[in-house]
Amino acid sequence: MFVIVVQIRAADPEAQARQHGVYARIAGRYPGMRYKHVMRSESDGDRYVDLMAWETQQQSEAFGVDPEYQRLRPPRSATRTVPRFLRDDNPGYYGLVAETARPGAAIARQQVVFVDARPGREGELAAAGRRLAAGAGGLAGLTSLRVLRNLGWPARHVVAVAASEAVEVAEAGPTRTAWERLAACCTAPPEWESGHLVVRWDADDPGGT
Amino acid sequence: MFVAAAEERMIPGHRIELEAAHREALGRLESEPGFRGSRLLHFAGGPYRYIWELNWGSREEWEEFFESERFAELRAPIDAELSEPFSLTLYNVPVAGGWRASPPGGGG
Repeated sequence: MFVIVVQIRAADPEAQARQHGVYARIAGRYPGMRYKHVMRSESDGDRYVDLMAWETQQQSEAFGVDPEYQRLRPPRSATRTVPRFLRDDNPGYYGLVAETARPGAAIARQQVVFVDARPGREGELAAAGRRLAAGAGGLAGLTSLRVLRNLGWPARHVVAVAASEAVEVAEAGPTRTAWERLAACCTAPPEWESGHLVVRWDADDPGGT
Repeated sequence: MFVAAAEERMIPGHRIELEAAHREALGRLESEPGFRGSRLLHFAGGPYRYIWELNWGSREEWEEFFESERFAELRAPIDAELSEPFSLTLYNVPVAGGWRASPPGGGG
């Protein structure tokens, strides 16, 4: 699976939701689109984290040149201005390390954390991520937990959690130990970011939010 | 061998145009004395970052090309697809080799 993770700054939540909803509608016409979940941060209302998953990168690229999608982009200009939030790792291209998911389950809350593995401990972090995903299957209220690895920077990982009720993977019985092992591999203590869903599109429920 | 590597950042949405411009530039380079080959590398972790490696027989052959108008003419269509000026880094090559067209042991 190929996942694009975008961190966005925008001041208008309704406009963001409309834009992401349009993206989801267009992308839903292409084979291989699996889900698009956009979280608005609780601590910073101008910050959004967008996860968009495809079966393959090639399918994502086919959507990327869709004429209707391209018309949503800022027009070409002589100044070539690029939003400041776009960097080498944003948007980021990720592969799936592990996941547990309950299709169709509600999402009332989301959490995401970006972590970097200490040099030489990338494999250990990924192994801890797989144990984390396996343990998360036993958490009541969990809709999905996904561990992603950047396809260009193997140290960079994202853990994304969606749940129908409050779930703290760092504290819960089935996941605490795996989380501690994952955190021990990181260059800095992981800091979770929480938020709520503003756009949801799933292949098995394209009616969406 | 001598390598000139240009680090490039694409304007969002211009992947097809940028890669086409590099293909066209490669066609021009093939007639350059001293040119030994090139690769366009696309960062696997995100859409905008590219590195264009140009391989030359010697530093002198690279500099003759770099200081000519042909270099600017080569770069212009590529630079039109970039969000910022490219940055150039130069390398000597102390060790090279090992390229394979197929896995060891045959097949493919």
